[in-house]
Amino acid sequence: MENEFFEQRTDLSKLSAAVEQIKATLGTIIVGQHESIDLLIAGILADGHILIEGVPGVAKTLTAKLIAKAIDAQYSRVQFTPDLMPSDILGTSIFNPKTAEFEFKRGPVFGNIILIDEINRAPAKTQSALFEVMEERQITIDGHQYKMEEPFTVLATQNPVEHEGTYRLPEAQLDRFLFKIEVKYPTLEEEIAIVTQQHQQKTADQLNHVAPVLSAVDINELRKQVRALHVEDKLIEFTAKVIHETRNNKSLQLGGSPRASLAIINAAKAMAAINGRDFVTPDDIIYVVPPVLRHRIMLTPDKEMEGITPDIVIAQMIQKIEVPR
Amino acid sequence: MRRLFLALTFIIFSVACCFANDNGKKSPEKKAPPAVLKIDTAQLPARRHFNEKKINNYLKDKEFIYNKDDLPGETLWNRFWRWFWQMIDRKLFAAAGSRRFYFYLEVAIGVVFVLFILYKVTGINAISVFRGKARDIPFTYSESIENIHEVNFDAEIEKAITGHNYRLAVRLLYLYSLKQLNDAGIINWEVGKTNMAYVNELPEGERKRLFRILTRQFEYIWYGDFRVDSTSFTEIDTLFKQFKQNLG
Repeated sequence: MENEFFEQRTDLSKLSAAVEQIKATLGTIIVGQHESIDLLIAGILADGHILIEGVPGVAKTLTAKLIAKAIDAQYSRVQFTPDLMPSDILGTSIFNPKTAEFEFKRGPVFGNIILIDEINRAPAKTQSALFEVMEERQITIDGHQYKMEEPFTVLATQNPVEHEGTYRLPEAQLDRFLFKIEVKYPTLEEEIAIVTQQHQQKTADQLNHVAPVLSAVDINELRKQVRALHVEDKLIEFTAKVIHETRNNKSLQLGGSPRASLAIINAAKAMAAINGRDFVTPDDIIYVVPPVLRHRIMLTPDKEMEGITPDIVIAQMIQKIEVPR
Repeated sequence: MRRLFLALTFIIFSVACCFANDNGKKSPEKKAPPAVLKIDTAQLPARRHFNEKKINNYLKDKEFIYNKDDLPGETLWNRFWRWFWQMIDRKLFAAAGSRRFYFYLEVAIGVVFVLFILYKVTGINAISVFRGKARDIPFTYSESIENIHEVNFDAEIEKAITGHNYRLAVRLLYLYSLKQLNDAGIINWEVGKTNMAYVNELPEGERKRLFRILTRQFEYIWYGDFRVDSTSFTEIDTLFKQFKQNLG
């Protein structure tokens, strides 16, 4: 009835089916967290890396693991620790006495879905190892370039920065993450459901039987489809205005980069596809702005002292920008 | 056994240290030579005096007045500020004495500390006392779309239909609907709200259902760049009329 006048230009049936299946699979184990799951799927479809932040025990790692399991691709996991070295992630050249030559031993970063658990437990030196691979999808070691295979997605979890034994990620690295998803505490009803599920020992059993929904090839195809979605010029201008405002806002000392503008458009396209549309609306953009911007902007010290959060500033900013119609 | 070994080791090394410091031999005493008093018989020259006149001349010379810095090319304004700070300096350090200055400094630090404690205990937001709230930040962008309260919608819609610009006609019809909803007090028009935000402001019922359909159609045409011909426009226009009737 609603769309009886228009026929879809892009066939999004496969994408919609896959999204529904992933949501259903995750829904059997993860209680609540619908927004986080939507954003995780959108992030993967938008070809972005995702940072999941939350206090200990809110199923950050479990959610990331399940998403990785739902995709039939090479999965690797790295537990970040304070003594981790860049070569532990990227790989290193080892001398082979038999051939009398150095051989490159690939690190865990060589994979399709990389889960980096507790990313902010490692200091800046180790974080820097990820700069090249996250942005350029390649690493350069001993003068050799090693290209990553597509899809290449980093799912990282972190505790809030104020927690013991954590390091703040460098801005350059934060900017490389498409989304920062904040996992909140569950509601009372959700908590009861979690405990009941655990009590009935359903979770552990179900976790072992999660079947892959999409292959690496499927992901690449869906990403191509998402990239081709229509975005009206007025909405590109709207996005640019949002980012421009972050650079002039008095509450912020660091605004969004052009990479943030691109991230908003890509993420909005993915959200449109998830919602079954082949074009972006202002709602898609406004929905993805907080997770795209909250880790890229930096509040002024006085605003931090006042207890203002990036999300509050973002909400205030968006309210004042005219929605094109 | 291990404890006994450790105890023995401790005793041996402690005793060895004592011997190392005292080898039992005493150094021979040195005898000082006997003191001999010598009388200075040298003759002193006659006492000389400075020329008072020359000294006075030197004292009047500007080059030798070190407590006044007349810098070459210094402006009157700079000279004033230098005088001002010298005066402050004299009042604080020379006139009252530096001890009094440090006393005042300690009192000031004490007052600041007490104020800080009060600030923390009462939870007063000192910054917001002097500065506005974050929501008062002036915004740099102006409203670029038409003011929906000033547009003559009937005339503009007619003009768009006559010119076969159905895309624009749908947009104007949608904006007109928003105006009507706002005038009826059903929605609260704001430039920053999205179409779906207005849909969600409507109470459940037939009106909401119709407005949701109209919103979707507007979005397909306006954001999705879907073509609209005279046939489909007639159908959409009928829906808008239905919605208008529903509004009463």
